[in-house]
Amino acid sequence: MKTKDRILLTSLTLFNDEGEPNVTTVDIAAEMDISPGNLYYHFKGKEAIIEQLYLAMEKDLNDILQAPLTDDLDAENIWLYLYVVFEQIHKYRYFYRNIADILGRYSKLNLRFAKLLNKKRQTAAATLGILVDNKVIDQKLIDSGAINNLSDSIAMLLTYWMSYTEIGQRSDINPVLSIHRGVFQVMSLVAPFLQRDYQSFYQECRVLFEALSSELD
Amino acid sequence: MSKKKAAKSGLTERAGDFAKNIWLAGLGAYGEAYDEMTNQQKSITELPQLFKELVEKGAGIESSDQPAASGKRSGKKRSKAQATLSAGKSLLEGESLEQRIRRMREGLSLNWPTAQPPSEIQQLEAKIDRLADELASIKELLSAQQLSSAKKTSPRKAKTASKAVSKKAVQKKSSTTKVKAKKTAVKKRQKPNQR
Repeated sequence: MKTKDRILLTSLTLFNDEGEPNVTTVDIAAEMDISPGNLYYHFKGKEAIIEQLYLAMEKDLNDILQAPLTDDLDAENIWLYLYVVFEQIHKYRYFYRNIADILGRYSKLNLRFAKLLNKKRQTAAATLGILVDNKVIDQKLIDSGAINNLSDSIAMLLTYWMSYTEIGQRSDINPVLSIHRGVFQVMSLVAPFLQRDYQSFYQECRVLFEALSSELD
Repeated sequence: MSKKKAAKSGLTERAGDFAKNIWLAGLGAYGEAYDEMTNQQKSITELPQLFKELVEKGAGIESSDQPAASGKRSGKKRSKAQATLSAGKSLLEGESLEQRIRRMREGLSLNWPTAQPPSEIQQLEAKIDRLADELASIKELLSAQQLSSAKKTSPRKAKTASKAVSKKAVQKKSSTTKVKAKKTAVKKRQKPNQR
């Protein structure tokens, strides 16, 4: 691995573990056993590192959000898809935990993130549309206004779930469990609109989540 | 009636009267609950405990006594419920969750590049290859042709770059900077050609 990539990876780990504001470039260099000068050669300060990490996150998430939605989308796929999305969010959790603070400090990222957020909304709306077409969601229970509203809620949940759940929580919570919590929460948002045949699917989600909670907690 | 039929089945002999009664009660409860669920769409919060039990029960019945389960009233409904659960909508059955998650992960990262028409990518790749070849031949040509002119320009550049350094270092450095200067000279000439 190139030094530059190693710096990014180490920074990401430190940011996630210790919190981004508490980590300095000196810490990062010390963790990697390189001189601060060497680090400075690759990145002119923490801002540059954060920018690169943000771009990597943006790319990861964009790749997922722009992935072609297949027509045979069903409830199980949605669940798996959500899991992967939350996994990505968890990978860059330092950012989501501290979102207002980071965007406030790095105004360059503010606009970019607004775009990404918009993409989250669009993908959510497109996915819901397909689920209506596939009769997973009951079209009698939902209209375009409700779809927009629901997409907003999902985008908000994806964005702020990390900071919401981590308030007053033990720091040693199992990462897999926190991902499952997010997935289940989104499924719960959509559950009231599911077709009768798929109500059982939501019950399965619930059973699964309860089982995982007691197992992993 | 279903009770009679079930009593005749092989299950009774295997598990005895006690087990039979439990099984029948489960089956009856299943049918009852399913009727309730389908007839009046109940509020979601009431269902989970019941459903959890039913799913477990259903799985147990399925593995222990296949033919008996398909008889009569509750059996018919159960098979419908089963179909619903197994039609790609089930998280609890089939392949392990980890495996399916991994597949989704792979699918997403693999799908992404192919989301663009492959022909377009191929065209672009061919173009890049052609440009790279052209670039290489131009480089060769230029480095051969411009060797002399690069030599003429390089000493001057080297001098200005290393004025502050001691004389010995100048001599050493000038040889390295010469190479650099050569390269920049070549690059400079290449640019207009590329356009």
